[in-house]
Amino acid sequence: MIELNPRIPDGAIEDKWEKHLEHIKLVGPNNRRKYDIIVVGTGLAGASAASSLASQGYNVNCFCYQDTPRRAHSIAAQGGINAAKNYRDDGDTVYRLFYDTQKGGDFRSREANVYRLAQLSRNIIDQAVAQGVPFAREYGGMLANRSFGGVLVSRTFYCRGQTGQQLLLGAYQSMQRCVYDGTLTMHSRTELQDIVVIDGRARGIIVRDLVTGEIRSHTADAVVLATGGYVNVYFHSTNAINSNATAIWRAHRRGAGFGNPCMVQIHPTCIPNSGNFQCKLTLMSESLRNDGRVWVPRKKGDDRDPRDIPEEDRYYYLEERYPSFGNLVPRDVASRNAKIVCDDGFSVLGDAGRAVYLDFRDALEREGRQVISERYGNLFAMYNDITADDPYQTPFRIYPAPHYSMGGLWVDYNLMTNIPGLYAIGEANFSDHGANRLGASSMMQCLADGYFILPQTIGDYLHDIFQDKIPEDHPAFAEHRAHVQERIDHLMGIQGTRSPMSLHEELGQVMWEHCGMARTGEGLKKAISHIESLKETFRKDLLIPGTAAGPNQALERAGRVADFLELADLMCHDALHRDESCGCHFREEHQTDDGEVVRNDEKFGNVSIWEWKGEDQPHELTEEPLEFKALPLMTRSYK
Amino acid sequence: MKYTLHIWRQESPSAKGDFVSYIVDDISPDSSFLEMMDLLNEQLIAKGEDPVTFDSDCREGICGSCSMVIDGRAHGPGHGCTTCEVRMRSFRDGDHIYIEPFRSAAFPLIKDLMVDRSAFDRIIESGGYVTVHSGPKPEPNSLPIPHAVAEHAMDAAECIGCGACVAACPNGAAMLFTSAKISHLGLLPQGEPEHDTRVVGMVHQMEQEGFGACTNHAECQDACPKGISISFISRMNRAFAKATLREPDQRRGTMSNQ
Amino acid sequence: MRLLKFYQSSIGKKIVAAVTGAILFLFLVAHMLGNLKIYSGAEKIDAYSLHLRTFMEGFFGFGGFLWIARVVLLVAVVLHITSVVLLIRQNRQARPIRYRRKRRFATSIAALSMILTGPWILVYIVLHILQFTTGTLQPTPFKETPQGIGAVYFNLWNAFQVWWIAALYVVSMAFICLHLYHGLWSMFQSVGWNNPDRNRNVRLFATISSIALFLGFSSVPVLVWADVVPPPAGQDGTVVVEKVGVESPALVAEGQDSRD
Repeated sequence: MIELNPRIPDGAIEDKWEKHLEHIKLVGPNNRRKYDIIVVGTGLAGASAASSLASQGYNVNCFCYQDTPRRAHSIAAQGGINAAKNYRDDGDTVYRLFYDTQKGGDFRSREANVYRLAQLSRNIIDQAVAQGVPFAREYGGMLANRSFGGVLVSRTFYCRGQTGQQLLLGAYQSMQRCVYDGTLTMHSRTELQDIVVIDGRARGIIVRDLVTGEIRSHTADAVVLATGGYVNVYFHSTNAINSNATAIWRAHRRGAGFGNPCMVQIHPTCIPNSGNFQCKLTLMSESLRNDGRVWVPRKKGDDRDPRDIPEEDRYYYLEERYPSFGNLVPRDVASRNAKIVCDDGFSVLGDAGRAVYLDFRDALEREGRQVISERYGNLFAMYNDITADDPYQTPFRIYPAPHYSMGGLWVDYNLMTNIPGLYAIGEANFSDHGANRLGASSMMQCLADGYFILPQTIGDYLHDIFQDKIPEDHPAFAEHRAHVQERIDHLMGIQGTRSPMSLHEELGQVMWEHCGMARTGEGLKKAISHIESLKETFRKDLLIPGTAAGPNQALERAGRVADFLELADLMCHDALHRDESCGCHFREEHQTDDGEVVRNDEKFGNVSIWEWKGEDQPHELTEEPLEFKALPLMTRSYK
Repeated sequence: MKYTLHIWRQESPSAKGDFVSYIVDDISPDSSFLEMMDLLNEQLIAKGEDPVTFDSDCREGICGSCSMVIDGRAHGPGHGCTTCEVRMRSFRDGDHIYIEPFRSAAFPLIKDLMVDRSAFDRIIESGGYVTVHSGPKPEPNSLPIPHAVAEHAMDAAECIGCGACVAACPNGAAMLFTSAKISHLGLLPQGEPEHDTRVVGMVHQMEQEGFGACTNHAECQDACPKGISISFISRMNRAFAKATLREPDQRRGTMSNQ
Repeated sequence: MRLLKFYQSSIGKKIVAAVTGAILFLFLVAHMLGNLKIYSGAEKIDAYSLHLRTFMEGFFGFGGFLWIARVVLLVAVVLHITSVVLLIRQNRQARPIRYRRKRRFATSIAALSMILTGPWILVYIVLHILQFTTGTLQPTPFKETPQGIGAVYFNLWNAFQVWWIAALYVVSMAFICLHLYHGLWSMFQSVGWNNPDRNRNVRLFATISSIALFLGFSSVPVLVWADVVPPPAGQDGTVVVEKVGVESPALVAEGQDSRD
């Protein structure tokens, strides 16, 4: 059993964070340079944390596998970022943002964290604007807002369809400023291979230089993982091709608890899979659902041109089933309903595949092409480039795809894992989104973690370990390096016949089928045994050409796939264990007559935290009970 | 569809490189260029050969990792797209396709089609930011920014830092990249306090990195996946002239009359 | 110090090239307008030539103004060329390994050929000065006025009787036109006066100016060669009997000698 102390401060929910800050221990400005902090990953969370810590004066070493920190996959976030600014005076408050997030997450997240997130959301916009992030402005010069799925207010701030890019560049630029100041050292094209834990504390990391193949170790007083999510376990996902779970999985193997691994979000508006050549699925911003209407033909196998299908033959299933939210239902609901109509044989691709229409016909008639193209021009063009269809003429064809992992390393209120000195922020941790994440809140969480939470809470730990340095030549580092080298040599030495990508693809198929939008006990068991045999195939039949001394992308991928295989196994076990439906985790055994989720709060109103017990050993489960005081449990309904 | 690929293969920076020809068959016209490259690599791995090394990540045209020159065009055929957005339907069945890495003294080759673009990071490091600490900031609406200014800044800020401008420029200049960042921050009031040091610092670093000079061919603008305008280069030139030649506003210190 | 810092950057050099280019362009405009006086007859153009020397004579002395202009132009030419050569060197170093296959998409022939038209124009200017200003090269009859300056009408008319001289002149003007087509637009772009709203006009200005200069300059040799421009008084095209100068027979003989 892992010892878990969530360290949630006492007091009323709106005072917790403030109170916590009042009592937290701090490191003096003159002492900060004596601390070495490692930040792994340079997405919104990593870049914002690294720049904040470095500008406070800590000595920061930052790592990313990309050739420059600016390419982290946060850059691909399109739609926007939420903040409870209430600029539209439409009833938005911190509490309402908290309410929406907590309810949207189907009551599987930690209330205190979610409330803090809602409070800090406003600071993020202020911070980003100060950095020069060019948010959209109204004609009067004020910040513009748009609405997003799952909520009834307009609180989303955006920079065209590239909000993530602009926010990331803001954080990246701040990082480069720290590089200039000499407080931050950037290590690009470097991938984490292992975490060094000595006497129960994180003391450094082992990395592989992706250019020279060199295995190096770095010591630190604290290690921050900001390495993003793990939905690439599905092979076809909206994540970047190289996004991986290696860092959090290595941390997990070294003792960090893994929270809610089965909670992954399947995003409803993606371009459907169109062939076996495909390596990733492209996401179309959820904002399309603001004006587009989702439908399928009422008749099965209706293969008429969608433009010729009259109104009465169109089944606007979201509008009919969820009159109050309509097309703006949260992602899990939209995705699941797309799956249901396709399962029922209404896919607009017929037997060739699965997809539903997202139609702008009415919006184009109402608003005119000019307005629609100003709002969504880049998305329309992107769709046109990829599919050669013109969405101004025919409806989009969309289908859900794996997009975000709510699960991740377990962290306490300070964002520290159960390994002292090891932190996880952003998508890499489990904390704020429960069983489903609302649109435009991932960036909010990443930046709240990186800019405002971690830089303050990390002092609480660092203060206690002042001047307690570990020497670079501590034997543990050499051991860990040797271990990593061994693992690489082993992978290179298998010399079988299967490429890492083909194994990855096979794993993805298994996961998508059995641990995707809908899960059953039986299916999950099947998946577990399939993964077992796939692991065996991997061990015996992997083939990596070339050498490990230099760039070798097949080797990089193999290492990531090896970790995905183990993680997939845990995800299935977690999904099997969580014998209820909640948010994105939909167990077919637990649904209402009309296909809505049925939670079991009694038994599963908690976080499942899994502990690694060794190679081929079953994981051990610990549960963190969740409180629902500020927002009492309710049945989530968007009808 | 079937294609003959002529791909630049080079084991290491010091090794001698050359085109190596491969034939790929059964390629769907709907697949992206990089998916086609993935398939090629799968074939190579199956034969135990070293797959082609190339950078890619997001595969949706925003991260800026792609760095190929395809048939003499940075990122390949089409306007406003990165290599990962190029679809194989842009080629005809049976085409010969030539693939080279981005070539620039400031982008040293690492392997095959992979180059080192860290020079761009160093340019940003030399001033491409607004210096702010993390923490509470003034209410952003207290600083109204006209719609048109915000949009103009956003036009420049869209740069993905891929380096296609350098690759396409007959002179290997990084003017478009540098000017885009200078203009993004220079257009906004937030960037005003550090404007002059930013312009001088970034331009100086750009020269140090060994990029070429602009001779106004506008090839960069044509190759830019985000369609960034060379008007930003013009803007930067003026800003640079002002920043270097203008009499400084502040002349601090005391002066004796003796 | 500030200037040095400015010039050390490629942007500084570009701006210097643009400003000196602008000076040279203005000179060309003036030069062309002067040339067009040939259509007003020998007296007008020769008087104009003299006027250039006597302009502000009281202040600068005879030819003083012209010398100042010449110095300015020479400095401009030297700076223009130096800056460009330095830029070219930088550009060469920026891509040590060239593409095996490279295509151009946006640029123009004018822009790509700057590196060829530039040197050609330089060589041409040197020949042009040697032929018409100093009279060092005299492939055709050359004559000076009593004031010791070239008899413009006479010299031009005779020179352009020779087809290849006229052709060389026209071709060089075409190159100047090409150089200016890119250079004039570039000038605005380089100094930062171009923007999307203005670009159309800048482009138009560059196109019209370069073509107008070409037509203006080339009309002289073409029309002379085509016998539209009448021969200098008393000359039928072969024998030189002059009216303007005094000691011309000797000069003519000299000129003919040098031709032989």
